[in-house]
Amino acid sequence: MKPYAYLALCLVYSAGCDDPFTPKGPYQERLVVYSILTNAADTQYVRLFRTYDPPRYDPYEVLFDQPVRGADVSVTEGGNVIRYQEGLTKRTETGRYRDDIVAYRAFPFRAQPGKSYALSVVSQQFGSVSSSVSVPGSGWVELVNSYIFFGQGSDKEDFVARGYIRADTRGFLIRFYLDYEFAEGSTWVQRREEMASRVSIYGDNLKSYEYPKLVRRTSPAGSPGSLAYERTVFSREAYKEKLNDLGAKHPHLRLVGALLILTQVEPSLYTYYNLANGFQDEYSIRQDLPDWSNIKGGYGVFGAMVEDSAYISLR
Amino acid sequence: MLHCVRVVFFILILPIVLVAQAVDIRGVVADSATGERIPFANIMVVGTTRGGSSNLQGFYLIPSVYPGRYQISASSIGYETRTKTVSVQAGQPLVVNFQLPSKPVEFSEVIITDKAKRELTEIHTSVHVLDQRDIRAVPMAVQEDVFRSIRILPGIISTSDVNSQFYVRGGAGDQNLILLDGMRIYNPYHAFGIFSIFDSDIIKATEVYTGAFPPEFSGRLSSVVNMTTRTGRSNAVSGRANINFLSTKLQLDGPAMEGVTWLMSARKSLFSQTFKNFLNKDLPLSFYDGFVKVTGEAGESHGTISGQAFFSGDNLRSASPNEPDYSWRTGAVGFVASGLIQDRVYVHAVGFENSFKATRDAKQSKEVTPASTRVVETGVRANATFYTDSRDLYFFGFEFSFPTVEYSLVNNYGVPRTLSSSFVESYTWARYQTSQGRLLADIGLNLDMGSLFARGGGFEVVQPRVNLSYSLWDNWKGKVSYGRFIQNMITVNNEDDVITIFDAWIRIPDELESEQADHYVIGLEGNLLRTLSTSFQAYYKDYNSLVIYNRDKVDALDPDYINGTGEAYGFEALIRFGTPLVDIYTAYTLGWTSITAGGLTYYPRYDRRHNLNLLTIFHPLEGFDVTFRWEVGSGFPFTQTIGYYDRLSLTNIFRGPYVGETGKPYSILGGKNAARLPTYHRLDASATYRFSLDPIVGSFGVHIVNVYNHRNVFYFDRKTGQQINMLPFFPTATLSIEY
Repeated sequence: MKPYAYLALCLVYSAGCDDPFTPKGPYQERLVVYSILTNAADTQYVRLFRTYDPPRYDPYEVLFDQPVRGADVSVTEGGNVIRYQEGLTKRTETGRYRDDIVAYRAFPFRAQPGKSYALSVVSQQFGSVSSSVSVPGSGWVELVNSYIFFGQGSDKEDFVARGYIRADTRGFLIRFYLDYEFAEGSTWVQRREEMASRVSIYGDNLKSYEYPKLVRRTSPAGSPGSLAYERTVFSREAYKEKLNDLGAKHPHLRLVGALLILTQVEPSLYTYYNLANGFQDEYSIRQDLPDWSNIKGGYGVFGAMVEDSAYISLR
Repeated sequence: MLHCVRVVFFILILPIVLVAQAVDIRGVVADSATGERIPFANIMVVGTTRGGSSNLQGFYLIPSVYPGRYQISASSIGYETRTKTVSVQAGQPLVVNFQLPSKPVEFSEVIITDKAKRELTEIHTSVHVLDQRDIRAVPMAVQEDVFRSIRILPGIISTSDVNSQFYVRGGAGDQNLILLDGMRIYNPYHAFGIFSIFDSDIIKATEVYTGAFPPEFSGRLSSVVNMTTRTGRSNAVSGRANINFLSTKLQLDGPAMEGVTWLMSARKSLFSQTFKNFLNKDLPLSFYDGFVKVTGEAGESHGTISGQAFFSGDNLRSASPNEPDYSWRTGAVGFVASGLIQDRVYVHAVGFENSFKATRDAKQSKEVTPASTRVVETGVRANATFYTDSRDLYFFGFEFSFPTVEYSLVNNYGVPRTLSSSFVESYTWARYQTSQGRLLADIGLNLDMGSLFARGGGFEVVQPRVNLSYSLWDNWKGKVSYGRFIQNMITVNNEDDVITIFDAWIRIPDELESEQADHYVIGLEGNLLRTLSTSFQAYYKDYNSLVIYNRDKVDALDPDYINGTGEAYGFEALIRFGTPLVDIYTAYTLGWTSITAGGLTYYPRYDRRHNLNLLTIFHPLEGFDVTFRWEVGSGFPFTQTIGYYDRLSLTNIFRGPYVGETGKPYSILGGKNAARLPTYHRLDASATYRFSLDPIVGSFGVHIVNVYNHRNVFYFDRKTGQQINMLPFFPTATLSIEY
């Protein structure tokens, strides 16, 4: 074969050489922080772990959690610094990891409505991140037509709950619980049941309850400190079906009280929660999973919510 | 005074009298062996500048020829020229039909002369006309395919080898209008788009418009692929059989009765193992398609009446209960009538119903959810051509169609959702084609009546289309084009998917503006040498309105999609060289495409900076061709994975603790489409020998895909790291027999 034929063959086969390719970009280890402040508990938590880069590509190759230990975690409000202590808490989902979760805890610490908090996490090994959040101010909630419980009004009238929310609230949720007691032998046992906002009945025995979900405020935010009201309707039919269900389970049943809880959520938690839960949009046709974070230098969310409640005694 | 009267008489009256004496010459041009009509044939009055070309139905009309004796010639690529001597007399139009004997054609004739397609290409900047020979000239990947062949044209790119889906001048894949005998086809692809559902043997001619297309084409932003199918032979029954590594097919056609012909074609997959070689993945895929057409001559109108039906289906059925099953079904039924309804008004009308349905059965898969999409459309479109004494042409037409689209899915919120809408797509258009000295002009207007009434559209529903061509010197022409285009239907899919096998059509929601684009094209073309023709074009496409993911969507009050904008611009060069021994076809495209929505500007996945197609065909012996095709393309954009974290959903936060949640692995993505895949390049080779054993003719071909086995990245699975490469070194053989 002539030299130029060899050369041509070499050229052809050298063209077949592969270009190196990886879908991975430059990996930078970052902290991941989850902390939701609330006034409904006297213990506040900070979940702290790291991003990871699987040895190959499959994230499920990573068999262990990536906790960050020994970090300096604190929340500052005005001049007050609240330090969190490292601890362990039980993992509720053990499908992938089985070990306990490293969580930083502050006790006693209850988030104050209307206050702003700054989060600081410093890890000698993995760097530092920060974030801040404003806890919505206190609101209040009422059942507009509580007279229904006392036999007044139409028997088709829906329950209407009205929540008064602050200007810095992005989303809200009103839940409606019924306290009841039933006879178990000679004692009365107390229970609480959440009331659905709607019920769909299919045939004789199939029914599906729909519970209120976090929704965006529809009222204008107004000036700081101002209140605006939002409402949630709980269908009377759903209420009756719930009572029927309870009555079927507990023939001797009596109502004790009705509890309304208004949860106000500030913008960061509202945004994260919705994006992580399919936009909370049952009509969406989107299939992507967008990300969002307010943690500077890291991932996760530092959010806040405030709960206010009203109780109607039915004894 | 008398003198003045005479002057007036000569100036005003005499031309009218003379024109009144002139008559039209008209007729059809057909294949002498099969009786099939020949589109784009040239008909000339020898010794004059008068002439015309046959339309897609083989009809031609030369208006106002003065009485006398003339020689009329008809020619077309692949056919011998025929000349008839006729005597034109005042009175009735003269009918001159031609029957042209076919002759062997060399590719050089196709790529260099291009005369037969002159009527279209003379004025328009962005049109290519392909016949079966052009399609066969491109080395095949397993089997011939019209969509794979058009990918060698400048301005057209595909994101992979194993995909016939194409992107034209920065337009998305759903912006291409696919017409089969005037019937709109919504899903023209088999098997993940590996090739089209149209058997190339049933296609007579394919017009491909890559931009600024004429006003009779509506409803898409980027391009038009207008396919016209063959008719059956009028003299005898004939058949064609083909077998290759992937499928087998049979085509039969012949006369039914005087003036009526039939054609039927069917194709079915044979070896799913081929797909294993294609994708390095065991795909239990099967497909079929079929086509039936009956055509009758319409007597003195020079027209035809035909009815046709088309259907195709694909199934992807996995044995594993954890792998989803897919199925796709496409069908269309149409009735086409064409012919002269007055002396100079030629009408082409189509009534059709098409349907497309795709289903994804998730079975027990945890990765995907069940989904289905369906389009059913009934419509009618008609186009009239009016021939004038001045040889100017007027075109008028309308289109009404009634699509119903439905998309069912389980959304990210876990809720079954069905999006359904029925609406009217309605367009009307007018077009004027004239010749003024060196200037040829094609000016038209398309009105989107559907948007005007249903969406309360304003001035934006007016879609002007302008094509101008100016003879500069010798055979060099300068051209400019402009067009505005509207699109009311789009496909939706996950933009972060690496391969989209499930595109669902939806109507653009009423609260959003229709998609809209303006095309600007400037071109220069001519022959540098007798054997070397060139064409250079620059384009700018302004997407005034696109429908894009709303990246700022947070909740149900935010729309899923918003209007964005975009732009695409670039340069194309087409150089063709032909000699009896070798033909060389080179198409190069330099392009940029970007999309802006919600404050973010990014390159879409089909943005390719450089694309080169080099096609070389050697003719060492008669009936024997050796073909090489080399394609080089710079890397497509993709989004890198820069890490993972376990993302908590906080689902129970309002009704319980969140601290114990583990979360699911979440890919941290880099800048959207900020990185590029490696450069794509591939060499294909093909050797075809045509033989004749009377009465059988046939061809035997050996084809090698990816001669040097370069591993071009097709896609990767972010989570498993599985990298799928495009076609590897892959030899195939085909045998075609025709009697």
